[in-house]
Amino acid sequence: MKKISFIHAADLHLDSPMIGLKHLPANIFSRMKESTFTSLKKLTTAAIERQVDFVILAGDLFDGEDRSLRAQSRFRTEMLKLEEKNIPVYVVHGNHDHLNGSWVHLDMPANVHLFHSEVETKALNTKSGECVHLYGFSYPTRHVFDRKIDDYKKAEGADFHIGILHGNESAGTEHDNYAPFSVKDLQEKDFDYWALGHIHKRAVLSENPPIVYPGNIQGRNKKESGSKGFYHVTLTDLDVKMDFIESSDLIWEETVIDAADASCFQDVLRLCQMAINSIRRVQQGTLLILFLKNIQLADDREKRSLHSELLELLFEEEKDEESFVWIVDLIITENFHIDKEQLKTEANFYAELFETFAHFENVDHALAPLYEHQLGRKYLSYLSTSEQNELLEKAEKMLIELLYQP
Amino acid sequence: MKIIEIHIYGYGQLENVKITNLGDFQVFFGENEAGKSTIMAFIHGILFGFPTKQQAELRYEPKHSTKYGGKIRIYHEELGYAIVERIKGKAAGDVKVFLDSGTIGGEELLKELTANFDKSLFQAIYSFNLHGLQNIHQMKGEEIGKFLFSAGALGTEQLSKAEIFLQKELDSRFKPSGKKPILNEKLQALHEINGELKKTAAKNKEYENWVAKKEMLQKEMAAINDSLHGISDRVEKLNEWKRIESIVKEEMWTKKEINELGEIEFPARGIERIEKLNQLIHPHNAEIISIAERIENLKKELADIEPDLLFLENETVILTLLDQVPIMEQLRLKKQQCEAKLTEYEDKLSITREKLHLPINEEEISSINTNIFMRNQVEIVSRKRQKLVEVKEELENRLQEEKITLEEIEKDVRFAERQILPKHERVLIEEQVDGNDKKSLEWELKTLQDKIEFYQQTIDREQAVHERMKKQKRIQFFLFEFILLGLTLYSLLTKEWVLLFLGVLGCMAIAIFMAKSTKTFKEGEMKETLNGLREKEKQLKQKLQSLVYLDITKLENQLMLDNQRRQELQMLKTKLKQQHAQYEKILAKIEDWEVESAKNKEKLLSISSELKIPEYIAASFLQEAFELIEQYKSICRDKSQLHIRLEQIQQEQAKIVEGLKFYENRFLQEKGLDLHNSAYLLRNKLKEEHEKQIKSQERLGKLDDLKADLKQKSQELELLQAEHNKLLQAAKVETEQQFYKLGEQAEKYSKLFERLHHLKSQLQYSILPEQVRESYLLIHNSDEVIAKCNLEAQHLQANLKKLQEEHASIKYEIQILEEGGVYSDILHHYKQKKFELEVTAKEWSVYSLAQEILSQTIDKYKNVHLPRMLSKAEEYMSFLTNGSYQKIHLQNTGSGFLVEREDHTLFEANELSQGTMEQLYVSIRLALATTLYEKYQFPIIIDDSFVNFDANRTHKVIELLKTLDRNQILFFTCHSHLLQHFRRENILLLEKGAALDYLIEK
Repeated sequence: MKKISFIHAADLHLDSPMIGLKHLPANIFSRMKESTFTSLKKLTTAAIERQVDFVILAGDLFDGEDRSLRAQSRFRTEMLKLEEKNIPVYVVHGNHDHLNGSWVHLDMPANVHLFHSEVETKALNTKSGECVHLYGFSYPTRHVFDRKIDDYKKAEGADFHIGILHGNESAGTEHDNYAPFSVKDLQEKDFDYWALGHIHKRAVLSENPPIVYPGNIQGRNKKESGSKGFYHVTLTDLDVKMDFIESSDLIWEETVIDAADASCFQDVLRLCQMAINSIRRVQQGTLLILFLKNIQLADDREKRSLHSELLELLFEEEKDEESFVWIVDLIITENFHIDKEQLKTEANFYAELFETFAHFENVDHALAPLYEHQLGRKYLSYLSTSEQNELLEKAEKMLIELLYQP
Repeated sequence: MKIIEIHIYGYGQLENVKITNLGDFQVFFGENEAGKSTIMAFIHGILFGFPTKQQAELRYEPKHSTKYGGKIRIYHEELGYAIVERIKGKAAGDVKVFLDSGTIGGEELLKELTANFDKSLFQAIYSFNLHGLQNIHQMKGEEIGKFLFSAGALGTEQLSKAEIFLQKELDSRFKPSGKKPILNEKLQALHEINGELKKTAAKNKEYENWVAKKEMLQKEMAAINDSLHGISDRVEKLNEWKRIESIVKEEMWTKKEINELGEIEFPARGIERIEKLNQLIHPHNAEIISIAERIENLKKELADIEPDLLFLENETVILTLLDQVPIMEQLRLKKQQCEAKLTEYEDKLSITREKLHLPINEEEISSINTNIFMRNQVEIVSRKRQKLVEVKEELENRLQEEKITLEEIEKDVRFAERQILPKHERVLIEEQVDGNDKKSLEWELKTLQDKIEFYQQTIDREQAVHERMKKQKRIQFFLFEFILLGLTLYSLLTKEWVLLFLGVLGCMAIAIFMAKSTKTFKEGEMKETLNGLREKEKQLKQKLQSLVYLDITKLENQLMLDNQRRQELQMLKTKLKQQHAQYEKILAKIEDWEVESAKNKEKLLSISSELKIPEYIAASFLQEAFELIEQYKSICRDKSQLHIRLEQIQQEQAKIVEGLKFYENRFLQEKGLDLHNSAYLLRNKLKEEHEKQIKSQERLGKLDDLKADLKQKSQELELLQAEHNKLLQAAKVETEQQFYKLGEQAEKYSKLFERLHHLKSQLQYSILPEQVRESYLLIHNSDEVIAKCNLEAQHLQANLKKLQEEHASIKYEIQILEEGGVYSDILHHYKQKKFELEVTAKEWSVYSLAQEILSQTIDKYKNVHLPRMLSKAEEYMSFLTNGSYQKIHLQNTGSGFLVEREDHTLFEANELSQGTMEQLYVSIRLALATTLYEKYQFPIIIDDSFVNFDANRTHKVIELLKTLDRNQILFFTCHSHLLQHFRRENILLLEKGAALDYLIEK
């Protein structure tokens, strides 16, 4: 029976900095910096341990403008490991590491096979004698909106046909529509496996043949939460076995704690600790966004210490923990309803205030001093409408708290 | 909202009061305690809840009634007519709202009707009382501000505090041109990081340059290394040359010498060898001469000694002969013994012959058969004979004994026959004795009688028992019979045929059984026996009577004795019979013996004839005779053997003597000596000859040895000589002298050669090959050349070091770029800082937005609402004061008002007269209700608030109130003089106990 096994990963974004982290202790910071490399190492280790026939990397190995020499150097090191074991690697470049970049190129070992800017076919004869055809292309520039899928042509004479494509499934509108395709397009090609890249969320678009986004190998911001990794795929004449292997060293998570029952600071702390311990993963670091809801503490001092001390207490325990759970954001919402209607009748001023909020439009103007500042303009990113609304809400709440004195 | 009807179930002193058709401007007039305040409190209570026990306000709980609460009917601008009912219940009372549209609700619906107003706000805006007006000037600035704020105005400290707080927060975070605030710092820091990032990114660009440079350096270094290698190689060679120079020169000289000497042929170690050979040849010659002399001597000696070989040849024979000389004596003794035995045997023979005294001679006797069979026959016959004699004697004895016993028994029989009774006598006595046994008869009779009696009793008892049994049985049978009969009948009726059959069968069986059981068996039998017994008794009795009494005892004795005797006789007779038989038996045995004896005799005769013994001897002494014959025969045999032995001994003797004589004659000089002497002489001679023989043999052996030695030595000498010659030949010389001379030359040559070899070996492993060496011969001062080379090498080394350092630093740079990740470290750092900046910026944004919105609101308030309210208040104030006070200003601090008089003098509120201040208060309150709260149309409730107003101003106030057509006005007063200002239909008269009247006439 013909049988091949390979690893399919994509969107390595090596050495890409994580977004949404404030100051971290040195050890966690270095874990964070190393995380993409750690994941890559797990990948190569798995490839060697499982003795796969080859490895597919479906684009975005590096992170665009931020592509560091270290990233390439580390990548080369890992590829050398695979070369030592005679495991070939098939690489396409995606929109983030397209071929036209001005970045420095390091030479890669001979086992790394790069696809060029036009769709091409590479043939591989595995150790056990199966012939595999791999199809793919690399992004020549940052933007490729053509339907590259039309250039994929099945070349007969192989036991298995595997398409490698870095692009966007047309139905998904939330991403830039690079090299668009539809599941039907891919199915019509009659390949045995489609190794996709570009979308960072893991997704199996079709079972037969498998059309797979493995997701990225390490989450880089709070949106990329949960475990990340790659697929170890075993293809035979008859069936497909897909084994998802987790590679991420750090995991982004979100959790909500309902602190309605907590009556004192200690209770809240305990609740947080319980939540943290339930989230903790062995040998992995967790970056946690913690929502503390329905806080109602009678004591004002305790309430203040929620904002000032709680995080520090929680940090204290995690600093030296290998399997740490680091709270990257703590969002506290108090159980403090403001009955706007009530307020309006209490003083007509409020009514006027709410009126102003409701019809407030010129947010940019209000923020101009900072955001239009010579440096601010340079380093602060433009706020989206939802972010603006969020800020407005916060402002409203703050004002009420300031003015309202029951 | 308008109040149309009031129905009080019980509130304070009022009970079950109903007021209907309240107008838009309703005046309630009543004396003190008429219930005005109670009605006001009731309206507040119904709409906003009864005061709870915790509150300071009066609860108005009826003192004499259990009912508490009531209802009002209202008209709402949007929801239409509604009834609000509130009765005693939880803290604020239980409320129910019934809309005319049919909706029913509770507090929620009420809240909708009252637009979420609470009592205090309602009172603050819509409810006037004297108390509020009078106390207004007593309030401190702050309190007035608070009041005004709570009443909807602004410019309070709260706001300014908020504004100040926000500004402070904003300033602490960011100033457009500042350095210290956190955002400025962060921005600056980020800017710097970005600068660094760019720098390192630029460095990344240099990476390729570095790589190229590195390669170039590597090439340069390789070149220098090559030349260094060349120099060091040269230096090494020069050093080597320095070392081997002298050796090379010596080698050349030696070669020249060898060439001069030319090639010499000389055997290896020739001189040594020839000397050795000479040393060996000389002793050999001497030895050969001495051996030859010794051989001569030995030969002479051998000729002297010569043994008598002939004699020695006969040695063995002579020795045996000599050994036999002592035997001669023994033989003689033996001869004598044999002769003695022979005579002894002769004697024995004659004795035996005499014993037998047979007429036969020795030969005949010898021919008599005396084999084992014969011997056995003889034994058997003689033993049989013996036995027969013994048997005969015994038989005769027994015959005699038997005869005597027979006679004795016969005598006894005869005596016994005489003693027994004659036959007739005995019969008589027997008769007498028989049948006269009276006693026994009597005893017999008695037993019979007993038996009879026993039987009689038994019969009686049985009969009684039988009777009883019979009765019982009969009853039982009848019972069964009835049951079965019933069964049968039943079965007949029910047609159960099987059952019927069984019933009938049962009946019959029982009937038969009953009949049978009545018969008697035992009784009959017993009676028969009894009769028999009775007859027997009769007979016995007759016999008894006929008995004669006799003396029976005597007769009986007689009879017994006779019986004994008869028995004895009988026994004797049997004995006699036996004895006869015994006697006969013995007689028969004697006859048998006679036959056997005759047979024996016959056999005896045959044997004796065979043994040739006369019959008489045979008859009695057969065995002895036989033994004698045998003896005789053996002695004869011994005798003949002895004769043979004698003859042998004589022969042996003769043989020895003859032998000895023969050798004596042959070898001894003295002849005719006696046997012993000659034997002695022979022995001596033998010894002598032996000695001679041994000696000569010894000499001969020695001679052979010497001869062999001689031969070997001469051979060796020959070989040595040949070797010697060979050496001379090899050297191609004639004489030994020449040989030695040549040897010397050869030695010199070999020494030179060896030296050359040694030099060559020293040079062999030199790094300078032979061909190159010659070129070095030209170099005169190699040290100088070496120094030069070293200098050059040092120079190159320094160069290389520099390059290496440079290479290392470049390599390090590359490594840092590749691995060290300064760039990515900064990048990570940059991203982190950027995020922190953004978070802080957002915080700032919140403050900024809050500030913006607050100021906008305040502006709007200040610019739109407040002026509107103030202008209204001014309007009212001007109206009330007839234009004396026209302007009202906000104090700059925002905590109060200033009033401007006609003459533009400004007054603070507390500077005004009581009345004016109250008018200001009323103006502002009404302005609030009609401007800021114009959306809400609640009734305005006024409780005698205008007592401090003069008539003119009172009139004005009422006029003013009348203009407020948007709100229902409920005016409570106890002053009748006020009533003139109102229309009559609007006035409601309140009497004590809530009697009501609409028509109050002046």
